Amino acid sequence: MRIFMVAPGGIAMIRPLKWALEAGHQVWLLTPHNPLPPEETPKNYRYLPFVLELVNFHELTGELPKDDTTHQLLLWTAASQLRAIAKEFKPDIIHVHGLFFGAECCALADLHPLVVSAWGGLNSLIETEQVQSQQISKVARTMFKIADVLIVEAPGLVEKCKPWMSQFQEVELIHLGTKTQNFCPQPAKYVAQWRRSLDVTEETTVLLSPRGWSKLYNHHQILEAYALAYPHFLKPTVLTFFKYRRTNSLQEAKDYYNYFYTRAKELGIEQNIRWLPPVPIEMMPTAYSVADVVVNYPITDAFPSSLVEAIACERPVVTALLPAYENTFVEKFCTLVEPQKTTALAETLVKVVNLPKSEREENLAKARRFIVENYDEQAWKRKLLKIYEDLATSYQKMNSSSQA
Amino acid sequence: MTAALNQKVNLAKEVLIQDLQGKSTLVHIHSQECFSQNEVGTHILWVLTESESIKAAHDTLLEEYEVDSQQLQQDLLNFVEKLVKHKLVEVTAS
Repeated sequence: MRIFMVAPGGIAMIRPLKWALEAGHQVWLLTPHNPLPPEETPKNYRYLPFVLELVNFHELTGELPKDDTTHQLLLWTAASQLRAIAKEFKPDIIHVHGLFFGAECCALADLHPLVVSAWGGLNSLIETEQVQSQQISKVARTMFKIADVLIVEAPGLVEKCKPWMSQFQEVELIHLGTKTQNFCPQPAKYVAQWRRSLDVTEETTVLLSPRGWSKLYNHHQILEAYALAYPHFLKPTVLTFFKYRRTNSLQEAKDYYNYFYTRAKELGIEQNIRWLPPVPIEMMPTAYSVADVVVNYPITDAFPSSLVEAIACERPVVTALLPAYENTFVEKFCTLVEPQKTTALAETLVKVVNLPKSEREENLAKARRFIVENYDEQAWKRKLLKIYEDLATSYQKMNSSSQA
Repeated sequence: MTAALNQKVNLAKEVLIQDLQGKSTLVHIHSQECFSQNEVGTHILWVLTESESIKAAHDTLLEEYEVDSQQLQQDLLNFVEKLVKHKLVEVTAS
């Protein structure tokens, strides 16, 4: 099969890309930066730099006005690039990763059969009781009209999307899952080395906020809750975060770090904060294994791999109960806290941290088994490839019957 | 810096390491630089850090691999020097 992927970049696209390549499909990927290093580039893969990279650059640097006319002009420019590629490649499937400008371009270029992954772009549908059309982004509304298959990552989104789409379109649940053979408890010598790097003693309880360095993940509220909880902990604790990448991070990430560090000092707990560098995904199993408690407290979220990975590594998780997590293993295996309540989070941290280790970790082997059986990425890979296959076949049938 | 056979090799405190089915990835906590080792490199790194000295590691590896002793010695010293250069290990008197 020939699969044409269009993406703004990011981790969510990489695994479906690798799945399709491993299955032997021809994949052309249009995205600003090639995610595969030269040594990992297979013969069935072709990377195409996105003309939109230039477009975005001009938009960012303010060389083009941000009005509707300019937006339309950019859309037409990019859509013509997509049409030219599709004419040459003749894809059986077009898969757009994310509700972004590139998705609008695919719509304008009228590319089909079209699979669209929402990747967090439809959170408002499950976080708002009665969603009005104007609360949904223009790109999302367009995708509701033209996607042949819409992929969502939270179970609650499937039913929420259906009323916006026709009976001829499909909504499918696909979570990326995780590689459970890699995401598992790690050998003691690696964990010991990481703890040594973090400068923590054996009896110290390590709390880890595993999400990327962004305000979105509400690390500052975790900090405030930790400060409230701190006097009540019975043993030494440290609170650990992943720092922003030094080389290519946005100023926003640096400003957030400065704000955060100043606040930690004001709260008198800066000595208890530890920083891990941003690490590649393959290092995350040890990051989780170092943590005695994983803390996840965003205000809004899609269904994140982080929770799957933490449980696969048999780590206790304290998390905000967000609509995207409802009716999933999170309700069964994680300690839940109402979102945006600093005091509630602090109280929960005290309770969980002060539990004897054996009690805190009592259900984790069972929780891992559940993840292995239900969230291993192989199952999701099979499901995605089946979606491609079914959709391509039905389009081929439709085309041959219309030609006849 | 020139490594000597009687020195002991330790992973630097600032290094995070992850095993991935025999291969390993290392990240320096301050520079944020990332390094990958294949299975052989990973095994040699562990033999080095778990031995009393580079000489002791050499003797262990000589039993495991069919290799010329002099060549192995030189390769090990070069390997350690590269690791030191990137601040991934520290060498001390054994």
